[in-house]
Amino acid sequence: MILKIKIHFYLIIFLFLSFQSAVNAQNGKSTNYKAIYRLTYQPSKVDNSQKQEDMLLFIGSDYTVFLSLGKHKKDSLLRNRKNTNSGFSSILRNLPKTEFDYVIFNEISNSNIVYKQKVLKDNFSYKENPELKWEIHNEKKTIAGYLCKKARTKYAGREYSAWFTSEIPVSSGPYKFGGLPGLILEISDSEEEYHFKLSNLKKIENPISFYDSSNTIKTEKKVFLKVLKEYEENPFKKMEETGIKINFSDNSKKTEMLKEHKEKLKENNPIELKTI
Amino acid sequence: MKNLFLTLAFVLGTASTFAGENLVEEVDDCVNVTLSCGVSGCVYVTSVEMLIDHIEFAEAYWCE
Repeated sequence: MILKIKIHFYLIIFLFLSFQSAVNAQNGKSTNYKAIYRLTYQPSKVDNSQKQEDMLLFIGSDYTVFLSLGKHKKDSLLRNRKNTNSGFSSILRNLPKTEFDYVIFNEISNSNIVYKQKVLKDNFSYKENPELKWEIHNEKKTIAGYLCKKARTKYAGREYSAWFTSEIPVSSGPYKFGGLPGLILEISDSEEEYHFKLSNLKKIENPISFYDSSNTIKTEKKVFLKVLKEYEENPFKKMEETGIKINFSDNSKKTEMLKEHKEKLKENNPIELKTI
Repeated sequence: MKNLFLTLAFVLGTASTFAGENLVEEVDDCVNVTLSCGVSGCVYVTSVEMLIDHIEFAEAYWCE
């Protein structure tokens, strides 16, 4: 009798823990480590000047999540927002800056990527497997105290050299790069137009979870890129369609800004030069 | 002593002449924005990219 009670007791505990684990798995992707990469990039095809941004790679047991520090800070502001109409100008004046609004989830076991980005009010996502074919070389160097080996690949119209370390057995890295037998600590294209380099890696005190938006539009990469291109070419049209009203105090300023915007679009130097 | 006094007067005079000037290279213009949920305000931007960025955040912050 007592043995039966004990068995039932342990069974209940086991089932409870399994349920908790399943609930946690559905609730979000938990990450325990944070890597910071310094990205140095050339935003324009015609102007050689370079910009820098800090990019974050959150590392969990099955997933990594890649986004800019600025994007992460903006998301944090949204999570902690107060329900008030006040502070419109002051909140926006202090908005963290970033040129990169995407979030990239990398399923480590199979290098499947889920790319997420908002276009005005719509959350989009698409799946991709970059199918990176790596050539591993014998060259070695140390980055942030980790012994790294060199590897080369091609992706989306660029050739890349990467340095990865098997001391961190996570098959992932910045942006959509992964699939090597260790974490990529540094990667750059042959033209040095996009260069990611690890600056810090640490365990997170309180694990961070990333959740899916309930109203994400799941689509294909080419469809998303078409939507994005249409929006970037005529953002005011899309805003009007969404019910947003914009009033410039000086129309000549509006014309000047739109002209500069069109020039920037022509000169844009994205990380993916080929998207098919 | 006299030369020292004149030098100091010149330096202080020059400094005070420029002290009040606004030497900001770019001036952000106010763009009046009314979001889809009716919340409105001024957005201070110097480019379309900045305007897009601010409006997208504002929509997520106040209208979602």
